[in-house]
Amino acid sequence: MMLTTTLLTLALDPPASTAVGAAPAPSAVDGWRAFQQHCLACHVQGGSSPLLLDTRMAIARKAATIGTVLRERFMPPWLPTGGGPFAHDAITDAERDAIAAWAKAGAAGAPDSPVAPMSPASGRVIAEGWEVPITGIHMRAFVQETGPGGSIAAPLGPIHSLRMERASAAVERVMLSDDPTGSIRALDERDPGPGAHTRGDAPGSPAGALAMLGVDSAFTLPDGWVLAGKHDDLVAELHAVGRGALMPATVTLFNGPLPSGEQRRAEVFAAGPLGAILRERTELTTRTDSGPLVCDVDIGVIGLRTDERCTSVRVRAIAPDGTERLLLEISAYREGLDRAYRFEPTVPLARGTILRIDTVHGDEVSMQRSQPMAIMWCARRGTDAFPQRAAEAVIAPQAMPVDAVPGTTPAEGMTWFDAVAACNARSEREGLAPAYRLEHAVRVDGRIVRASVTRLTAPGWRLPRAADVVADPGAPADSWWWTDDDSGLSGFTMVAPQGLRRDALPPNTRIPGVWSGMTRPVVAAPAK
Amino acid sequence: MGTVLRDIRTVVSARAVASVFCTVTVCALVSGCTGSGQGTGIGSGPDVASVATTPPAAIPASSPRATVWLFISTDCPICNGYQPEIERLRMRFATRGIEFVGVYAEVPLERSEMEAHVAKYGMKYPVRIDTDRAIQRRLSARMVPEVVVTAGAPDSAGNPAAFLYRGRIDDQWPERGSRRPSATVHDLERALEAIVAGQQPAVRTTTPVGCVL
Repeated sequence: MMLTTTLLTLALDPPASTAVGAAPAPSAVDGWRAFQQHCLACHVQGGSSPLLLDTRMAIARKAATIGTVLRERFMPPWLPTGGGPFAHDAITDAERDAIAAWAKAGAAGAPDSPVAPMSPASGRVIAEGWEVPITGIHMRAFVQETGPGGSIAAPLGPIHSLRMERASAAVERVMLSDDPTGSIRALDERDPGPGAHTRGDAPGSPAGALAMLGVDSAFTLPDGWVLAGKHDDLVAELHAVGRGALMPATVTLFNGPLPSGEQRRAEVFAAGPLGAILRERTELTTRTDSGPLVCDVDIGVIGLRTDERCTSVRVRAIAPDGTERLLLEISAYREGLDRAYRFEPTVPLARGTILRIDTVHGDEVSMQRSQPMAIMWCARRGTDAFPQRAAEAVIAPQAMPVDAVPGTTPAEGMTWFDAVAACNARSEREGLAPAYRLEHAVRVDGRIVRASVTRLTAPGWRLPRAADVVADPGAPADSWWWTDDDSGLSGFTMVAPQGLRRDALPPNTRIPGVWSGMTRPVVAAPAK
Repeated sequence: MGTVLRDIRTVVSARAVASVFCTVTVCALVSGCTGSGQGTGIGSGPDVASVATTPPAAIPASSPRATVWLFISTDCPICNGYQPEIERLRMRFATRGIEFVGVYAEVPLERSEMEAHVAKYGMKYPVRIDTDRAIQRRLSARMVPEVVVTAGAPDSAGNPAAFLYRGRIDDQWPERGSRRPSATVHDLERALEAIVAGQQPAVRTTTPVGCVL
């Protein structure tokens, strides 16, 4: 947004005066400059607002409304009422007054003709061919991507910052993600219309995991951070609203330059229904607790996924010792004015921290349908929490003993935390150093439903990696084993010997009949 | 910019419009309007007190029974989003003695802008540019979109404070920036249903949401 604002300022800075020989009054200059800084980036062709204020006539005609929305603090749009601290170019009260007075006085200095959006030559065109219907709220996911001239573009590449321009303001938000399994592409190919009518959630990559572009048409990571990868299966989920006439939904993405010097790898932590360890609903509210972080991180950016009838949102980080930190609060939520929020400075969170998302909805239908999610872009702090295991020779996975979890049977199923505890229990019985440190365990009906787990470099019994589970065509189809997924910030996965796989399950899942296996590295002598 | 626009004098009845796709049509001036070149702003229309105390006008027994004055804008997103709903209501009530007139209340407005707007949104009701804001003042419009339903034909003389219904079209926008997926209360439609049945609307005023005039 700042880049766009700067470019537009260079193009639109007024001459000394519209009348020969006269200098503009100081208040007019202040109003025009403030308008360019805080308003113009959205209210031009290509911007997020359907209300164009890019000519003197348009601004003067809307002077009464401009004054009202500034006085009511409805504009410029900035939803957070708590949390942060966020990077934000806040408007001052003096600037509000100056803009209102300047618009009422005739918007001197603003151009008489619209300024065409200044677009670089290269851009990634998304959603070509889709026209947003004249009414209603619409969401479609697009996998096709083209470059200028309709050619298939090269992969998106690493991301530090993205900017978006819109063919029309019918598109309110765009959420980008990868599609590693090709599931969204398959849906897109089967759907006869442009794109696919679906959430762009792919296994392991929820919609918005790469970037969220909202009212500010921009996504920027902290200085030096890069979201690596080729992203050649780019999925763009477009949220659009009917504006009374058919309007093109095409958006163009521009990938900004990568930071020079040392870079930090940004990773996504998606706190929401998948991986949640707690989900509660009342008449109009929801509460969702995520699974715990598996290592210390710094949060750089946070984005929300809710719905249009969500009226307020609060996201808190709850440390293992119970300490709470408010990350983001929006008391009056408006989906059309939402965006991704960048922390400045970044916020440190400790291993074991969970994210708690509380939402309030305008009606029960909205509440029942809502699956609120907070997507955070994080960078790990300190050493990697996962010990290197690739070069180890391991004992082939063995089925967990039936008495692995005291007081229960395989028919009842076990949680991932139960499986970790069972590994430690066997290690202790056999005089081996436990491979996990399990802390802050919360039990419900004897099962561990929440805990902080640290993987240790020790020869004790541990859960097998997904790759360790041998594909056995003869094994029963329901022979699912919990595994230890060493990718992601809180990944859990479950596999069957036939190579079937279920990713991102909540670690407190209990499926009858699901037990687990154990494995451990080959050692010369047991470690104490 | 700055040239005074004149109302276009081509008159097309609402019933004829219903079967014709028109681009630009405008009604004759409403009697009682002040002349052109007057200052802007609300001033000579009914004030709050008179609106609150003036009983509604009687509903004529024959057509046209009422006129729906639609205060609209070329660029208010709330207003433009309502154009499909306005068309739905026009199709439902135009043959039942209700006339629809669009008033571009945010001026100055070039004729070319108005024509482009009508074409883009497929508007089929007559429209006019309220150059001197005379209609806005007479009917005390405050917002776009806002509707004022008066008794009889557009050009019938009458006390503007004796309106039949004024305010919002429905409740899809409870406040600026907050939108329901769909409306739950269709205020204008309910009012028109009562009027075509010869009855006064049960709810006479509601609060519109949109761009300020």
